[in-house]
Amino acid sequence: MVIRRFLFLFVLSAGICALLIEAPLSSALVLALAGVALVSLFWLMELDHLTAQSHVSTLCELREENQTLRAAQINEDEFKAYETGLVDSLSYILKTLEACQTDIDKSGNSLSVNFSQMHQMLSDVSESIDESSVNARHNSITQVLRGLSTAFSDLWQKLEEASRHEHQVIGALESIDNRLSSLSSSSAEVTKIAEQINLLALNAAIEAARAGEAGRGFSVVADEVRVLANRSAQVGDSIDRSVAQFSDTIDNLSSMVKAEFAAARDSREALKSELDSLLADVKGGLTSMENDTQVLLQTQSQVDHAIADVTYHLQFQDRVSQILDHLMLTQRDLIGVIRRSHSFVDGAVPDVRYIRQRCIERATTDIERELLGVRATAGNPSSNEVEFF
Amino acid sequence: MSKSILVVDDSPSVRQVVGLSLKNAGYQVVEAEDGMKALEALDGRRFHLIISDVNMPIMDGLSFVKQLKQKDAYRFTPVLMLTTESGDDMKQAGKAAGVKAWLVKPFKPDVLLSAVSKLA
Repeated sequence: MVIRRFLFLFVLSAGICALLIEAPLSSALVLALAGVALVSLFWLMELDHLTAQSHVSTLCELREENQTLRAAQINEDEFKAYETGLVDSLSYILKTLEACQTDIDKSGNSLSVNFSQMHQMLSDVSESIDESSVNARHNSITQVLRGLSTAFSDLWQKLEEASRHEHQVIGALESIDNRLSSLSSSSAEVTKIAEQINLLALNAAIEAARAGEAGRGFSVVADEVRVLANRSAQVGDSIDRSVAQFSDTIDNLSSMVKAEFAAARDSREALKSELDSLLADVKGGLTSMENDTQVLLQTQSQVDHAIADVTYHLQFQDRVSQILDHLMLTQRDLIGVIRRSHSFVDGAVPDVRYIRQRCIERATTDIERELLGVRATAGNPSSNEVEFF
Repeated sequence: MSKSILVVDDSPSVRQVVGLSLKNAGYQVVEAEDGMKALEALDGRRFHLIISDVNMPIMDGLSFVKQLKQKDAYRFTPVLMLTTESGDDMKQAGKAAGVKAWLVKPFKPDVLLSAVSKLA
């Protein structure tokens, strides 16, 4: 480059000097010099053109290099933005999953605590309506009721027996009354006989008086017979009065007994009616209690089933929490891969197959294994049966 | 006197429902949230049965059972694993560690109580 410029300046200076000094050289020499200068000029121009082309080419190369570098710079910036965006998104998902897990754990724990309290209260209630204790109480009441019924029946039989005795008493009283009437007739007969004897004794005394001295002894006998007849008449009267008094007493007693017996019968009937009503009420109450107990026992059975069902489903929190935990670990693996993926620019794609392998290794639930397309080695994992070793 | 059972699970809700089922059946229940806490909870006490999860932080269930079985006082204490793990390989590892029975979550209370009555 320096040589070319030197030659160009030399020839140009020589030509100019030749023209300026107008030396006495032949015009041919001047022309020759001018021609040489002109050729040199053209040659130099050609050289400059080639140099310029070379410069242009270099410049183009430089520009291309610059453009490539700028493009690479742009790609790296875009990739960084892309990487940042992915990491941010995954971080957001990770935090959301963490928040979900915390929320599920909190709600699950709260549910289980509340459920425990409810279960305890229900257990306290169900203890009082436990089937065996209810049946025992029912049997006890039934037994008492049977005893009461038997006692009432015995009482009623005794009252019926008493009623029969009443009739016997009344019959006996009537029999006494009849016998008293008979006795009264007998005493009247005695009085009548005494009167007749008295009349006969009087006639005998008259006849004895007529007989004179011979009938004196007979007169004494007739007098004694009259005395006896009078005494018989007195006894007959006395018996008659006594019988009449006794009959009155028996009549009064019979009336009183009949009245008492009638009152007792009325009371007995009333008592029987009340006892029957009471027994019917108690039996009705017992039947109602039996029905209520059956309803309670059925309800208790339903509650027990519901409790077992809730106990079963409340375990979702443990399962979901485990799955979320594994998901978060996988998210962290992904974020790590993205952060280490600058080698993408150099064209090397990182191997991420280990992430799936880690997922498989972490999987502890049937849901995860199913979603990952792998099966547990057990034949029937969810049979909910205990396997004894 | 009622029988005593140690329940080891990192999930409070599982501990709650297991404890509830056992208490209602008349058992005494002690709870621990991981294997390490369970070893601390032993404290020389006698347990008729230990129910443990497998996947737990700090110390998992199988490590806990292995350490338990090294203690003379608990060598013959039966252990029931209650876990979401259902794989045969894991069950075999449990059996080798000294586990007596395996029940997969979620469990039904009557199934759990039936197993407990056989083991405790």
